[in-house]
Amino acid sequence: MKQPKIVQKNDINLFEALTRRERSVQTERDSSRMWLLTAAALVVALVGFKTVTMSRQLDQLQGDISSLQSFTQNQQYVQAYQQAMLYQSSTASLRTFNDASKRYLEALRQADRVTSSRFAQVSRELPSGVRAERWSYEDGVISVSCWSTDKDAPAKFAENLTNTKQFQDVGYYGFQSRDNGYEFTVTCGLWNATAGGDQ
Amino acid sequence: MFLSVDLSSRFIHMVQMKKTGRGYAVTGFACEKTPDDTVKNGVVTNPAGLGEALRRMADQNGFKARQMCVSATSPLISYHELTVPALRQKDLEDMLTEETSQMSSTKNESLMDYVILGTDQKEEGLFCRVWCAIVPRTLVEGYSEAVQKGGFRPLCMDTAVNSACKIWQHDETAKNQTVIYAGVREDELCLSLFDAGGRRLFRGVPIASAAPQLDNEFILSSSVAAADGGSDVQKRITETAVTQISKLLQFQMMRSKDSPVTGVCLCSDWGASQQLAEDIRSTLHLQVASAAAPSFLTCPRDFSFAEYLYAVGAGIRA
Repeated sequence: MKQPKIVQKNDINLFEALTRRERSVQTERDSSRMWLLTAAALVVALVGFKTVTMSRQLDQLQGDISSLQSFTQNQQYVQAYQQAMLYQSSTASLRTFNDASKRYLEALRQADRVTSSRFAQVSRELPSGVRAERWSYEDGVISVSCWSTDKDAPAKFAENLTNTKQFQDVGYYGFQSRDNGYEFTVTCGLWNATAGGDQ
Repeated sequence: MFLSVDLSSRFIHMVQMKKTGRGYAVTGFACEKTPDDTVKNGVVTNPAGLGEALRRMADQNGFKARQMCVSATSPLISYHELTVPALRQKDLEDMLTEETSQMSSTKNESLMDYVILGTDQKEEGLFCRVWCAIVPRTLVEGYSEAVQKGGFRPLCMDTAVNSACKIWQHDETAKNQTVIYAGVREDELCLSLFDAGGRRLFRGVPIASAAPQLDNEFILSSSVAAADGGSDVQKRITETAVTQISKLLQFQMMRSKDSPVTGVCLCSDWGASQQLAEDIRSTLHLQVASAAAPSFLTCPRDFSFAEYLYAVGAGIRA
């Protein structure tokens, strides 16, 4: 192994040792100062970068504001906006009307009424020789005014209707003579008429 | 041309030196008392005052050099001998810095420099024996500030111990003996032990502190205990120096019986050093002589080398 060269040293120089120490301290100070300067430079660079970035953002924002201002002050766009507002107002009215209509239809749907099929069903049960002259419906009761030459026709008609089991109760009244026949009225009470009749 | 100074709390030894073809030449020298309250325990307490003294001293002696080397001694400087893997210089310095920072209580507030004592080839590879000096940062900053306030440019700062070592390395007469370099001053000792094999050895010699020394710690300078109640300064320093030198003798005897300490080189600015030399001779039976100028150094006749040894050593660069 190669041995290092041994330097002959016979002198002690404490002044030199002091200088070495001061230089070492100075080097440490310089090193610390260098770090401090580097850190300061970084901070300055960061602040500069941030300033430039913010300045750019500000410019961009100001550009956007100008653009928006010119847009909002353009008469064509203002008119279009006003038109749009008008349409929006109309749309609101129509929507209100539509909602009201919906509510009305719903109310109708819920209303107490009888359908044509019910009248057709009643008509099918008319005995032969019986003529239905007037129909009416009130409070869940269908009233049919009839004329027939057969004196048993009212009872027969009422029986037919009862047999269908589609009605809560069936009756007849007002049996009287007219035009060589008999006039009478048959009443049919609908099931659950208070709930709104046929749906 | 440069100035090299040895700063202690008692004296400033200043030499003006220049490099020559065969070594160094002393072109001027001066010694003054250190101004009061500027250096204490090897720590500069008033850099401006010390700087002013240095400038005035250079001006008064006509020294023109403006670069300054410093040699300092302080009990706050600690020394460690480490054996570390041989690495490239940069890696070695990093490793030693890390190692020594673990030894210092003020991890980030201490400085370290080192010399390479030698290398050891082991089974695991090549290792370096390094000798590290760990110094409080504020201590070095104090000297640096003082030099600059004096109008000089800090060139280098060495420890007094290592300054002595560099002299010894160039001193042919002392190199073949195991000797102690004893820097004896009025308030501190700076002891170095060098052996005949070309190695330098150090041993901790806590004088003022009662704390036990660490086995692996090699401290070379220490304060002399403060005077108590007017005790005789000469007697106190002599006793302290003899005691500590005696400890170094014992250390060397335990380390290597075949190469006992044979002499003491006194490197002293202390006026009573003759008395100290007599005491060492009679007590420890050792040859004692003032450190002699090495052959590579050209100096004036009246230049007391032993007194300026640390100042000269600081300026010698390998």
